[in-house]
Amino acid sequence: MKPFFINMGLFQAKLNDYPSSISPALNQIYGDCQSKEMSDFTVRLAPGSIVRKYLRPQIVFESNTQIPFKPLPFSQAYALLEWGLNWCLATHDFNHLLLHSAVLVKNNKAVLFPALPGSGKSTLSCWLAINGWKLYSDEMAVINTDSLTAEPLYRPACIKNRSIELVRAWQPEATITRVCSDTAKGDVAHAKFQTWADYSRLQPVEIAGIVFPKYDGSLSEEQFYTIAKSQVFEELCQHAFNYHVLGYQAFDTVWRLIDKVKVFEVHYSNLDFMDEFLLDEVVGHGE
Amino acid sequence: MANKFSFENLVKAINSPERLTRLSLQEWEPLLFVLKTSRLEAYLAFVLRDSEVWDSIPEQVRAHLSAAMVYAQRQNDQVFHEGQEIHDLLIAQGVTPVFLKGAAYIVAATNNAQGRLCSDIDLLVKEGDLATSETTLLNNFWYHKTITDYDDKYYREYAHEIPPLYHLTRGTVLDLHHNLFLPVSGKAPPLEQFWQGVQLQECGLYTLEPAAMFMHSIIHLMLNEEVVYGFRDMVDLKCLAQQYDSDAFWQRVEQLAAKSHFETEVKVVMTLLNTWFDTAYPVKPPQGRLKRSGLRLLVRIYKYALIPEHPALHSVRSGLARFVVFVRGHSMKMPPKVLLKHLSIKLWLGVYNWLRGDSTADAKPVDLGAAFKR
Repeated sequence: MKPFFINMGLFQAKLNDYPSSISPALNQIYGDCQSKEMSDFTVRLAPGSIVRKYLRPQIVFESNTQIPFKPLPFSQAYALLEWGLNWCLATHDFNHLLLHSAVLVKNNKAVLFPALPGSGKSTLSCWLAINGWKLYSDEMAVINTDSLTAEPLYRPACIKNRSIELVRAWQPEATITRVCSDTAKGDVAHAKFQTWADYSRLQPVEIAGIVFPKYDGSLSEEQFYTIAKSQVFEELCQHAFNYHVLGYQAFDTVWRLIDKVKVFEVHYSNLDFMDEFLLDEVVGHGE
Repeated sequence: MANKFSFENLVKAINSPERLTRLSLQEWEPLLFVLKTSRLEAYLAFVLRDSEVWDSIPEQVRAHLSAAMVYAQRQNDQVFHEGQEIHDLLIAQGVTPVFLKGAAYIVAATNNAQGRLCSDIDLLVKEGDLATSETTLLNNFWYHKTITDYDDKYYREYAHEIPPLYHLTRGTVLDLHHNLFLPVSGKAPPLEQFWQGVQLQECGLYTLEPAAMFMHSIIHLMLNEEVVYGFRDMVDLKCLAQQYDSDAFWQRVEQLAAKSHFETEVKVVMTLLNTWFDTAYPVKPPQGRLKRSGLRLLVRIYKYALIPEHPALHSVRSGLARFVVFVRGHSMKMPPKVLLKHLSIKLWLGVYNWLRGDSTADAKPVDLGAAFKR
């Protein structure tokens, strides 16, 4: 079987074995990327045990002989691959500070949305990506510890449950993979909002703000708060994948970052409001 | 073929890192993957960083090596931190804790210390101090995970260590030993000799003397039924041999080997060191033709068994050799009757997991502790 090269921009994974059922999704999401000479990760999606090949088939993610997760039902192969690639990045890249956060860019300024499950982060990311923002990353902020800039990744957004229909309604022609049902996170699909050609024009950009979003449909009026720096520090440390490995460097990076950016917690029910709020308060309206 | 990689490439990388500048990115790729799997990436990274060729290495490769150094350095720091805490706790109780294996190399700053990863901290105390040490640790944030009654019995009755201790908040794993090999085997070395040479290192922690560290590394490598990181262990031994190479050192090794009846194991390792790493350490051939051919056979088996287990280096010969080592390791550890019982229980558990389709049931912890994971 010919390997499939997944160039995520900063890193490339060589996918050696995979079930043909994920070929359409692979081609949708990574089919247009240009492959590099050397891959940074070598990964496989292999069937579970021999018994499991016939009886409730399973799929196992393997990266360079390591198996980080328990097997999943065969139908969730593509979602497992994307989660596996997150694992690869989070456990191998100690040259950047990695935060569990979405990164969106407008007017050459980045906003981080550190994730709280159920906060509506991915839905917000997709909405902004459809409405003129650049999606640098949906899951992982890759931060340069010297320049404090955010690096772009060529990865799709992971959308769940009702958000899948929302994204389809907002952008009927959007590139969305087939839905994996009944995963640990419910129904899951992956969506991308840029081509490889769009991606290759992206540059690392300055981080202007950190926003902790909280979607609350029952709100009649948006609420936003500033947060004490010590609290933000604690939040970011908890959201960092590799804080403990980077040690002092992570401490220093988080601290310098907090010192220079604007931080808000925003409770919203209206997505248009978020766009305006971010332009007014965080990234500015540009030239 | 572009990505053809062989064991010789790996050995060459260890022997002549300065020649790695000639590698193309396509040649670096399998080397990096094999180095990662065999836990030698950070070791080589530090060697290269401290050499003149660092700047000539492609940026994409340097990113991997840099990340490996960050990770290893972090573990290194943690070993000192945990080590100091454990040392203080036990010294206060009148116990002398001696660090072994990976932790010992780091504490003693031997030539292989930089970039040395360890999945746990190994500690030796005198058998009479075992109960005090365990109680002290249990009273100070260390705990045992629930294990099967059989496993607990295995540790307490047969083994040279008690069930692993885990740090409550940091997740670090600590193996507390009272011997260097399983007493049930009847082959456990007499420890007075090893205790005699215990050294206080500059950082204030205890380790074995260099010759005893070397000897213990050989016991660990040659008497285990698994050699997953066997090649890394050989690189450890290469570094120790290179650093302490002197008549006095080799005499002491010979003395310890004789006292503990592991002369054959030492000869196998030294022959392999000379074969792979281009050295000429003194190996006295054993008396008698039978013993000589026995040694040759063991060398041949280990030569293949110690090739890292990675798809890029897969061979039937290595698989067979590892099977022989597996059988030999078990037969060294326990007398036949005990072994038979042990294997039947383990086999049953293995079949059970296989039928259940749980391929990760045997998954091993890959790092020092939960602090490194999410």
